[in-house]
Amino acid sequence: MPLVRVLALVILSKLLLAGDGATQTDWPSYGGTYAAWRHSALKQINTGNVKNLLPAWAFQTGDYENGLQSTPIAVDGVLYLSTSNSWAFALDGATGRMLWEYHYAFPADSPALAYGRQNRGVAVSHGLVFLGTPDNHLVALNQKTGEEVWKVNIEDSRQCGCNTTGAPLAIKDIVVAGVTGGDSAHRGYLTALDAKTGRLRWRFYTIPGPGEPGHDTWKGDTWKYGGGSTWMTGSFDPELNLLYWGVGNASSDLNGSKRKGDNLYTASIVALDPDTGKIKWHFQEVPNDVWDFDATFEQILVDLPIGGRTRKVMLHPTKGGYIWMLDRATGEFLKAWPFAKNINWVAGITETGKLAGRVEPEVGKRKLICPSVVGAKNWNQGAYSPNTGMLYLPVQEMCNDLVAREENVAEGGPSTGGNWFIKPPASGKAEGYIAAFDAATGERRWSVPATTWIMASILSTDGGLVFTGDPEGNFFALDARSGARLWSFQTGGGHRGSPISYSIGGRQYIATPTGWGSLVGAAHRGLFPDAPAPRQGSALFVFKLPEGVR
Amino acid sequence: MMRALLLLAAALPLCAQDALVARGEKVFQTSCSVPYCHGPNGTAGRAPKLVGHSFTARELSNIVSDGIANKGMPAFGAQLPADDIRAVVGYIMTLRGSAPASASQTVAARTVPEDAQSGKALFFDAVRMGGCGRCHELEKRGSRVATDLKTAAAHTDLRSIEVHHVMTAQPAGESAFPVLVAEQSQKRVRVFDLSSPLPVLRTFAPDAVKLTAGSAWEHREAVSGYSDAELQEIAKYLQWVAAAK
Ligand code: HEC
Repeated sequence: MPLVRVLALVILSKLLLAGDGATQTDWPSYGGTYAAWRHSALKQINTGNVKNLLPAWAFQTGDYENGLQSTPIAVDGVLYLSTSNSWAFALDGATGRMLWEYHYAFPADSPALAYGRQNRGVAVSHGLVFLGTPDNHLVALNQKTGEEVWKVNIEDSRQCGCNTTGAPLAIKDIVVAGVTGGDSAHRGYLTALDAKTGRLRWRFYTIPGPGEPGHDTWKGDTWKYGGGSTWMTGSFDPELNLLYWGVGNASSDLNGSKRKGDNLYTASIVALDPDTGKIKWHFQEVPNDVWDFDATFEQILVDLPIGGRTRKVMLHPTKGGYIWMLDRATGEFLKAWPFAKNINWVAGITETGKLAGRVEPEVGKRKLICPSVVGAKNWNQGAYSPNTGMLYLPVQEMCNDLVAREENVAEGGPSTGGNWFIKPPASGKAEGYIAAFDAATGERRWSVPATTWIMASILSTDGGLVFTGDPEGNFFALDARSGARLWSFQTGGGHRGSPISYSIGGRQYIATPTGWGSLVGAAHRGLFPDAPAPRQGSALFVFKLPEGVR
Repeated sequence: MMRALLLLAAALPLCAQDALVARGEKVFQTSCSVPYCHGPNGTAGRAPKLVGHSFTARELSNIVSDGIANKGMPAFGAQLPADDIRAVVGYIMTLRGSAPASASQTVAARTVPEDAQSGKALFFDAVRMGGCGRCHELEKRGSRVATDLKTAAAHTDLRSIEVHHVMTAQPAGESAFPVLVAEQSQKRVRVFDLSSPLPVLRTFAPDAVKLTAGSAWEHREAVSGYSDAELQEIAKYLQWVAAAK
């Protein structure tokens, strides 16, 4: 073999090793990389100097609806940011100077939108910026100018009661977008469009139709209205060529009596062939879900030593308070461990991954179920650090009384099958905290209480730091090993977004959205009546070390 | 707005009334706005927004207690203490607006007669990626890509519909495709690409795409997912729409 080729191979294998799941200078995708670690390999800002961290610039979006829930994308020194009304911005990452802005134009007779206007971020590839809209369109913008290049109506939101709030995922030559609609009478799906032309590549329905395997897990017509939304962003393993997506709850949410059966593929992880949209494997976490326990949150792809050998696994924290560990090549169940204290909807999970001792809502009766519909964790994402081997999660301890109800539903209409009364757990106090777990064993290493709860995502870095923000407006850094609080900055707005890190010209930046909002965020005053209401807003704060500090 | 609230709380001193509203707000936040129903501060989630409503306190009290059958609005009468219901009604009254926005005032949708119902369901077929609704809007549903069918002449054969407006677009470096032109100005050209099952609205600089009249596109491609029997059902629905206009 010629030397050049050997060298090339060495470099390639190095790249593959380094291309683990940590971000480098950019923050190219929603979860950082396709592996969704939300971990940056940058370490200029570290445990020793983080106390010196100062704001570099801030940017006010002007869109105050539902707060700023976005994950900015950083590519070649430019940040791409989106807001609840589907405004998008390109900002110079070093100075905050706005390069362009785009305001999505709603049709004049835009209907009241079932799931509210909110947006969690864009995807960038092929010179385009992809943006979902509250009225269920996917838009591609010119990355250089912000001008619209193509736009597709995924489905009329007046018909489906669904919309696109999650960040799209751009992989290979396609862009994949999920939809809300899991609490409406709706058949959920995932849509893949050609990145350059917007043409449909495939659609995957999360509920199998007549003649497809799994269809018989639904009774009668319920498959047409069974929910199974895809409202958060999936992950991708290029080596296995598998696209992973989490599927939401079954509908009617709290009443499973009409849809007796497992209700595939609701509350499941599905692995798809990204080239065809065909299903390769699935793993259902909650058969016949009656708690509104979506399986839509982040799928963190890591290689971990399990039972004496390194395995390609997926870690999947869920509303129900368990982390599921699956073999991501095959979908084989490896284990599940609880990450919250107040769990009573099941007595446990068996060694084969089955739910044991279900406590189900009943028609007309209030029944205490923990965690609540908000989840032991909500969509705000956790992070994984390859340095500490720890998984960092925002956790909340709260419960709800559930009451199921008989209801007839109309296509696209609400289909909750009952209602929720959120309340504190038996201790009498709703609690939130950040917890660190050994990713391989599930052992809890530390936890740091929040004043109220943590509804922002977590960022971890090679500087040995973990960043997140609280509803009180503090954006802060913890020591990734011990949880010790090392730095904090008051941004003036509650935190409901996802921080990132990137670097330009050898200088590391930390960026965080700030500004409280969202439907779940509205519960704050009810849950914490003695705490001040979180401040709304919609701004991006960016931090760096002062010149000369190392 | 204040008057209604005062009526409701007539017997209470002013500070007790504030306390009532504060308690009502808390009840609202844990029972009505979450999960996702009436939205933060009543600004709408998946249920109607309450900000600016024009219900009376008595109407609200009845709705909260008894629910609205088959509309997803639960009956809280048996689930919340009477005091909580009074408090939440008091809070919702503070969201009242002067503009008439009550549900009772919205125009009732015309009911589709029985023999047109299956046609309507097929027209919008949600479980088959939208059906005709991917390209046609009717009764405020679907996409405004192609002809407005409200004003269309009666057609009995939905496969061999004569096509007049479909053109051929030839962007630089791409193969040609059938389009409906949505906008043609000095600034830009916007066309719906009909070659995709979900039509794509493409935007070009005027000199980046060549448009020529005519196309090989046929309406039968758009309706190929339907059987003849299904198309007959759909035709019945279209006839009803045309007659009802
Ligand atoms: C892919 C897009 C598309 C789909 C899907 C589609 N159509 Fe059309 N339809 C068109 C276009 C384009 C025209 C013709 C516009 C022109 O050139 O005048 C048309 C024309 C029509 C017309 C004639 C209107 C007139 O002015 O006389 C009728 C009726 C019609 N469509 C009904 C249907 C029905 C019913 C369905 C579903 C079974 C359907 N279409 C599905 C694109 C579509």
